[in-house]
Amino acid sequence: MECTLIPQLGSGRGRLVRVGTTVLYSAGDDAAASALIGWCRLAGPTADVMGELTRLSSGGSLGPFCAVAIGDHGLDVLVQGGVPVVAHTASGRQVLADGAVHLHDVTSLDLIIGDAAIDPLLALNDGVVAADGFSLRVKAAASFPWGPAPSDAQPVMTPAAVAQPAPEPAQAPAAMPAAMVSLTDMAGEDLPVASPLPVAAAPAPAPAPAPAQAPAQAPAVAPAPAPMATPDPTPMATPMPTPAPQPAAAPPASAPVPAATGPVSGPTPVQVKGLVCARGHFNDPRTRFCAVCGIAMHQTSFILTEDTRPPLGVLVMSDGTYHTLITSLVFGRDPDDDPEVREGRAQGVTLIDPGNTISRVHAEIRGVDWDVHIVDHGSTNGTFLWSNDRQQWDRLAPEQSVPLTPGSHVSFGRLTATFESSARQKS
Amino acid sequence: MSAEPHATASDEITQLGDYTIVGPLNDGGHGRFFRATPPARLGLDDDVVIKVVAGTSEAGFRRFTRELKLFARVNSPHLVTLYDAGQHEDHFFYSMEYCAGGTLESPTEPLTKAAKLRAVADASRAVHALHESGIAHRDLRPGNILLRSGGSACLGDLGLAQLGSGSVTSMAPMASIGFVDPKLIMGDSASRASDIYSLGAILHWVLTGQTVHAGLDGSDPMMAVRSVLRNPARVQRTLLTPAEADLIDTCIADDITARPATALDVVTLIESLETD
Repeated sequence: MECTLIPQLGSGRGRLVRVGTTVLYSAGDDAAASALIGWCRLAGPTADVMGELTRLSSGGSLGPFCAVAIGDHGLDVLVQGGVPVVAHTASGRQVLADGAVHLHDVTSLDLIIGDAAIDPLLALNDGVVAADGFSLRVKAAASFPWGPAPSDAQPVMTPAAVAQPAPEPAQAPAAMPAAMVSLTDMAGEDLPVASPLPVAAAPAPAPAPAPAQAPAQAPAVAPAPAPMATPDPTPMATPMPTPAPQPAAAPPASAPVPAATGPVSGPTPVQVKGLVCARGHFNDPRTRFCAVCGIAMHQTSFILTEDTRPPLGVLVMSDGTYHTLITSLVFGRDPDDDPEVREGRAQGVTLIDPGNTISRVHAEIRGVDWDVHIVDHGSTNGTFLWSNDRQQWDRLAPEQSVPLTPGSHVSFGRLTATFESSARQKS
Repeated sequence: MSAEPHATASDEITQLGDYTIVGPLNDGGHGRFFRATPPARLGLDDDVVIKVVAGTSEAGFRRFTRELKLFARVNSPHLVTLYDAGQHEDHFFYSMEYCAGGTLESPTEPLTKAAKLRAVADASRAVHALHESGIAHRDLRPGNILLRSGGSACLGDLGLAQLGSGSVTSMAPMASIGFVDPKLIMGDSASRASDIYSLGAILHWVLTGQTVHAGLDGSDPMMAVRSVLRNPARVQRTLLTPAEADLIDTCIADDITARPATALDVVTLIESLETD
């Protein structure tokens, strides 16, 4: 559900917070408000807001507050300390008692102190303000803005089987509307010739499972993140007691899928310098154990070679999407505005943002050699990095490249994200 | 695993192209689904399903229809039949066959074990046909296996991850996370092997009611993805016959060369279970 949060500013005796789909009003003292605000920032939009808050507030130390989690199908509301919250539903109004409640047909949720007016222009999309109260208004079906049907197409449910042409829209029945495309008619489409996907490490299409083709102790066919864009590893002087990779004629299973299903603009792998382990896997020169097979790296000759960088990890977003870090990623409403994206050195991730909290080019998760950095590209609402030491979100200075460690939390717009490096890179 | 939102009845949609909307259907994970009456030009007796996804630009629509056509031209009786694609305001939509039996995730009536195995075998046949045409499905999950009224099953379309989603690199909608090969999340390309992993994970789910990631909690997508990355998949052997457990184990093997080579091999293996 889309909701508009309007603060009632008044004398500003409480604090009103909105982070993503979490809304919180604290009427407690500074310590209580600070704890709640920090919690909101950390929790992100998808946490079990009510459950966690109920546990946290059971001691009563968080003072009077009201928390709201905006869900897809209603509001989860938690009231503590007798905050006078009123829910308006289609069937009337209801003053909420202390405790948690789920409201599914609510049209607005109000905490209005006195008769101070509220100004609908002061909507709070993200952040904290001092406020006496608030009004949280549910937008009706705003997430799916179908207009009403064109005036000549009444909502008549005509069974398709009635062959008799309907008299009203005389031009309609026979032809397909111009805006539509038949998926059964392949004429006129320049579709590529379909070729089968390669079979994993097998000679040609094998009818039976052929498991033990490669010796078990040498997973040289790389079930691991080694990208296969280069046909063969760079020849080098280091010992390589491994069976050579498959000849180019039989690409390994992790070879790129034909464009049909691949990313629309596939990331161009990045070349970096690294070390090759005794079994031929390309590694970050700083690691002590091979990220793929775990063999100790001290057996190598420590000669740096240049090769395609394996994925640096994955950025897991709070909405459940994830982005593998093969190239740098630029997030924004219109990431194509970024020259790195336009020129193919970074991949754009378009964020759909009804709340206008995301800038056109907002933030970049940047691969710097073997490291991952975050950069704010001068966004209006900022890019944040969670500080474990200070237990707070730090806003990044624009264009400052800050390294991320595995497990780092970042936040922009209504999203939080966690950077995970490959489990296989743990040394 | 039904954490996906359901379409609400509040949308005032009556017409999409020359299709007449009858009403919303449960959401399948990536878009919104409506039951609709097809136009007479198609000569269909039955209603169809219309799926709606967000999308605008002309280029986006061309890519969208192109990818749908690549799917539609794959010749398999176990792939859902697609009819038309269209554009409406800032959404794309397309129409497909309506399967009255629901999905493997939420069938309209309880399925026997044999029926569940048959559905996964049918879906595997469809996956094989896609692979033979150079397409990896990448979004195999019980909610995407559709049950026809006659008892056969067919595989639903590719997910939004592939269709018209512009530059999004990868997506793991919650409904899929228990079924995706973690190697895909870490950057491997989709392949026969990654789809075969999903088939094994689906088999595990239909036979045990659990995903191969024990204790996977769908309430927090971020935690779910992290948990899948950190905890290797494991077969719940106590809930399965040894043959079933072995079959699933080989499908989800960490070494992709140890997995069945093709989805058709998975069919053979499933059918050998049935006759046991």
